[in-house]
Amino acid sequence: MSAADRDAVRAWILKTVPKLEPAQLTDDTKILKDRVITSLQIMDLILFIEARRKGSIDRTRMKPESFQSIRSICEAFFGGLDG
Amino acid sequence: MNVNRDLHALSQKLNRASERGFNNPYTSIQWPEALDPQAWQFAPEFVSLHGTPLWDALDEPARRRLAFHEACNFFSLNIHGEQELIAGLARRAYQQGDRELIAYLHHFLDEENKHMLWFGEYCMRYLGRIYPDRKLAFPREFAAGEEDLLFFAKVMVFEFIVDAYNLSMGRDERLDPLARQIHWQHHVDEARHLAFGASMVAKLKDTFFSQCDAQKQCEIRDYLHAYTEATWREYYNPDVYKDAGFEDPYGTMDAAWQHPATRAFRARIAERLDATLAELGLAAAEPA
Repeated sequence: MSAADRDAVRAWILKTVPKLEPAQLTDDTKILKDRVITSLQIMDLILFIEARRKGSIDRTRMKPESFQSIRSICEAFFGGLDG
Repeated sequence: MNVNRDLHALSQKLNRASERGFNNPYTSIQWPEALDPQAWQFAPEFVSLHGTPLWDALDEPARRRLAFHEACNFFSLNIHGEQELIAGLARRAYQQGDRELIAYLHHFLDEENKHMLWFGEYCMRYLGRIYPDRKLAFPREFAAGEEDLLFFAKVMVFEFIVDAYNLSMGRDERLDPLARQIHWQHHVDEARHLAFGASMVAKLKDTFFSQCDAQKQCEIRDYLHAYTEATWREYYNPDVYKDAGFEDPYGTMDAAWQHPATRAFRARIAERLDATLAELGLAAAEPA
């Protein structure tokens, strides 16, 4: 994944959760566990990821652990943070 | 769940209606080998792009092709919703001891299973698959009574929206008779489910709200508002736009979702739902 993908995921979270301070969001912030985003917002996140990848996500990757943090999202759907 | 006298009496009445309307799902619908490509499978006004420049740019065959994929999406999202519903109903069927209510939950389960059978048959026979679900459920903690309230309130939200489609398309003479019949039979059952659901939500809400603070009540209302938005999002499916030949399915989804005409459409379809939520004291931003 490129830095652009990470920045895009980060920007999506900050846009979706306006009350979240940018300094509070790191690559490892537990966005689900800490309820930064809710399960109801996951569908929007999936659609955002699909749009960025220009295609559907493999359903076997759509599991809660893939959405725990920016890092896990990038690893699951964009080839990792350093890919 | 405790059952009050009103819910017991309503269950008794609905049991009689479900028994009178009982049908064999294998014989009640005749399935043609192929669909008529000239027929509308979904009413044009209910197609997610209707009223937008994207719709205006389509010729008549492309509109009918898109309408077929929208029908498959509608039936698919109903399958996903009913899978969750059936699991939740089955889990709750014997959590209380009222035999009339238990009997009605069995009718509810039976009728939802029949709907899934019809939706699945339509999609598998004519599309070859169902459109996949993008919702994910995560385990979370609930206060006592909260999970039951949210479960039945979500069912009610989902079914109010669905039923607005069914009620209109079940009577729409332009529709292919098969699609029209599925919508109508779905509506007949859902009318009972909605009566039951609204009564159940009222009882669960009164009980839960009497035990929780204003902040929790606000959270419940906000959650239902967010759930309604998420439910609507499923009606704007990029897989549909891709299958219908759109080059940029995600851009199409965003353009359709944000267009004033589709916002107005959603507001119109949700009028009964919004009125019911307000009556129940569950509309977002309502004072505690």
